[in-house]
Amino acid sequence: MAAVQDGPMELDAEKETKPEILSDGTSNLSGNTASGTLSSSPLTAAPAGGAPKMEDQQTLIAVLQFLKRNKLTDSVEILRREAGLGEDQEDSLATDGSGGGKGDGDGGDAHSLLSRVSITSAVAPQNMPVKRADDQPDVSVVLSAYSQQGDPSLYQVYYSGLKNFIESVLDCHRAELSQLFYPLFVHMYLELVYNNHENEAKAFFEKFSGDQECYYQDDLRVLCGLTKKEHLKGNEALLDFRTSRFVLRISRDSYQLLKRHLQERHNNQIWNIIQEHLYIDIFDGMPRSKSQIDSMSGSLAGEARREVNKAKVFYGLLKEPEIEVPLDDEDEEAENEEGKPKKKKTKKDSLGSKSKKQDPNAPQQNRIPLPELKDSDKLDKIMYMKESTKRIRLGPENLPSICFYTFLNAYQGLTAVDFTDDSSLLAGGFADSTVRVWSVTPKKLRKVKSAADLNMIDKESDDVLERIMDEKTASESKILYGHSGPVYGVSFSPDRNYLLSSSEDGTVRLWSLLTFTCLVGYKGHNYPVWDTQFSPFGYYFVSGGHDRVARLWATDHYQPLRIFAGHLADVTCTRFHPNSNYVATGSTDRTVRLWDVLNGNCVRIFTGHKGPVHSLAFSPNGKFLASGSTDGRVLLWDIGHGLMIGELKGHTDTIYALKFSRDGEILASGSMDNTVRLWDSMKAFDEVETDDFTATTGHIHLPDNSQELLLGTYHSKSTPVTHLHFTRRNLLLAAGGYNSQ
Amino acid sequence: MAEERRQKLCSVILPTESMKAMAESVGVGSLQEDSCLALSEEVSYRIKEIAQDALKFMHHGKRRKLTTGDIDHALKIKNVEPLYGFQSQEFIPFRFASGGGRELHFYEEKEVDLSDIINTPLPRVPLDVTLKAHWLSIDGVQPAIPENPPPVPKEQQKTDSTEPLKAVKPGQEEEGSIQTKGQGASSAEVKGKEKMRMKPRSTHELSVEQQLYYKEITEACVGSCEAKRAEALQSIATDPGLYQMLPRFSTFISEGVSTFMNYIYLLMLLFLLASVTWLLQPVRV
Repeated sequence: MAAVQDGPMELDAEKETKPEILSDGTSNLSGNTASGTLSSSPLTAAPAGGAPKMEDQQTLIAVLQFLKRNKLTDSVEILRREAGLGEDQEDSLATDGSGGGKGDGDGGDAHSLLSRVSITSAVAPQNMPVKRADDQPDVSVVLSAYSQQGDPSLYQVYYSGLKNFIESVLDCHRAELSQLFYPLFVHMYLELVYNNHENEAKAFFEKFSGDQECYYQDDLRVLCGLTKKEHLKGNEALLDFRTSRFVLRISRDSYQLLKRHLQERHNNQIWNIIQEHLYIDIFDGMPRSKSQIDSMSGSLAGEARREVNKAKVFYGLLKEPEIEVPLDDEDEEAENEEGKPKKKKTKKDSLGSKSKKQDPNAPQQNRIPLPELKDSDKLDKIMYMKESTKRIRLGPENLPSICFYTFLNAYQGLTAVDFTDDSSLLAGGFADSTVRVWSVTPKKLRKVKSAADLNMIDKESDDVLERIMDEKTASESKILYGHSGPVYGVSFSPDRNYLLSSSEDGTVRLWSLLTFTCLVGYKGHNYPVWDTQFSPFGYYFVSGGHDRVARLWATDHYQPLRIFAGHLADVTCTRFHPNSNYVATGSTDRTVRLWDVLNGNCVRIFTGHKGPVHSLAFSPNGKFLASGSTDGRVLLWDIGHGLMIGELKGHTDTIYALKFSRDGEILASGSMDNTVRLWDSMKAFDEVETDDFTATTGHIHLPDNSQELLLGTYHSKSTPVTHLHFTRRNLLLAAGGYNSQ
Repeated sequence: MAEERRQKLCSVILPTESMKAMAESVGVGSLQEDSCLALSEEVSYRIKEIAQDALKFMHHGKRRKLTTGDIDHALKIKNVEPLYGFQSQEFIPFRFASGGGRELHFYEEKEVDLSDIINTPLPRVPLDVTLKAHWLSIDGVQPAIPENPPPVPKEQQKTDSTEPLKAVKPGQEEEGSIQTKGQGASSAEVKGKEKMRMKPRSTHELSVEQQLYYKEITEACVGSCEAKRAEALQSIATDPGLYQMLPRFSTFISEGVSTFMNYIYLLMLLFLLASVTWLLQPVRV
């Protein structure tokens, strides 16, 4: 009953660690500062209760050693007196302790104990601040859990015994229990490697690696390189596996069956691994079928626990600010000439009434403080409304036109593209560290005049905004220099005054599109930043990178407001929810997570991808999320219920671009296989029956209807699709760099 | 099948000989076999690790090819000093000289005549990145323009070009479809699966003038009048408006070739091949 025991304990640990993390006062949001950073910290997994007395003493010794090393002599004495320990006793115990780890140096073992001490903070609260300085999961403490071992030659026997058992059980249980194969295989292999049984490990790997599901091939490739204990230290893949318990969902019947089998055979080795390294989420009811399991598995740490996806998510849209649409005389006249002024008015009314209704699923208007609308924003909103009245209604019978922007002579260097919301500007990030901005309308890009020239301008004049621009600098494109590595992400601010770019050099840069200079370099990731995006309301932006965290920033703070930590591998893409209250991140650990901007909590974990997730898109109504990965599949998610609701198969390579049409009827996907595909998203969402049973158990039946949902496939000659964008009138814009060979 | 997969996953390590060679290159002469083995295992593991990281950079660079830059970046995130010295063309750039009891190593630098450098024309500047827009689809239909891939799938094109007589003519759509069903069920299937929304193949009617021109040219090509033939060949080589008629010419030539091959009519064959060379003038390509 691993599940039952562990629940409360982990929660406690989380509570403990929360206040220490990130108490920087830069947050200007209401509520507490960022948290959740340590929610999956490995330390929580270390033994906390029920440890034998010997271990307690060892812990004490470790604390003493630590204090000594830091010259805290007073504390040493006090602690020693309280524990009633003599100095000799300490020494003898210390040597005892190090004797436990075979061939491991004294220092290493003491160190591992030390780091274990840091969680059992009740013992030595005074050393807390020092130890907290590095909250990195410590490899040696993580690994030390592997030190107990059985006879290495029996591992194959154990494993094949279990395999035979699982293959002989009833069909309905077999699929569920087969989930055990992969995590057990990995842990047993790592245990062998950790205990220096290199040859046994190799034999074990060769014998059983062929049995694993095909979507674990990438991980197995990493694993087969690991053959020595030294390799384990500092290996991220391993840390990920060990720090997070692999989550399996198994029905109660199957679990009982497994438990009985293991107890009958006295197969403690496997039972220990299940108890220590796996998290078995037991549910009542029918066992799941093979296809049901396959659709949800594949992530680095197994499936998401059911309770993780139970939190309420306010996925509704915010109320549109009320803007009186001024009756623009000129425009009205133009409409009059066309002879349909009345029609326009009614449309406007309908739009107005629609936005006045408050969505019951929407967050409070001020849940996240949003920047106030400027006059220029209001003008833009009006433009948006006008454009949306001219929007084409799309559907299976009415497919959008696609305009493809090809980057020529980019020499495979195009790495990121973004369009402004009004489709007037296009930005490209390149591997040569430059960011280039193009105007795709006849209006050319101009810089603001120099300070001296600006002084001479009559600031009272009506066309002052026009006058500050320097005509001499007008050109179709501008180049922004500043990064020192390939630019992996670009994003325009909604007001078109700023541009963000993230790069391999570990920074996110904010550029002004008035002066075409860099304004701020946001440092913090220190490792390559794979993606960045502005909030739909501006001011905030999110970035994610190789350091496995996503960060939320505000443009006027040089430090992040929130750190979203929990992914087990690189954060590859980041997207804001349309209401700006949530952030979705996709990762190399093959999961998609949804984070609450208000408190930094992870509110959804979506598993099911079989490869790194490289693209994300929210539906315009905020209810659904689409994600695309290297395996060429698009998965659709219901955010409110936390369920997978669709799988779109068709692409043959990584999907780098996903976008919903403005009304959400069509989902467009662009891929490395040089195609743009259009999918009927309305149909995909409608066909899902979310009855109470599926909602509570999370078991899904996916209809295999990709072919019916696919509305169109459009091949380009030799241009991978890097970005997709729907204009306000629902014309689809695609962009990519031409590959000459 | 399973065997193969296992083979692929087995860990491969560098041979110990290469370790020895590398050790010698840095001046370590005698390396024991055990140390070689340990080294090669460690090195192989680290190389794999770096390659795995480099792959990430390739994916994010939206490329299919791993570049040296990716490896540099992977080294950087591992905090390894980047590799220097790739620019050197030779293995060891030093030259050795001895004389007068002294031994010298020096860089060989040749004297360069400045005026030569000044007078040589500058190399061509690589083209700058440019943006080009085209319609990938109009109301869900892919227009047949040069920027888009040909509307007919490649297999279809292949059968069309290799067996022009069997090619589906607009009039005999029914017959043709049955035929292709029999032969190339797979290609038809693929087409149906992908639900290609291609423009239906339109009949390219030639104007009366073009029909006349076609007749004249074909007759001149295989006719006996040498002057006429030269003129005709000149015309098909240079005339820019032949785009529409190109398929017809190729059909004519291929049919002609297959016919004359049978009768061993070499001269005709030569004429036809001449017309091919003229058709393939760079003007058209």
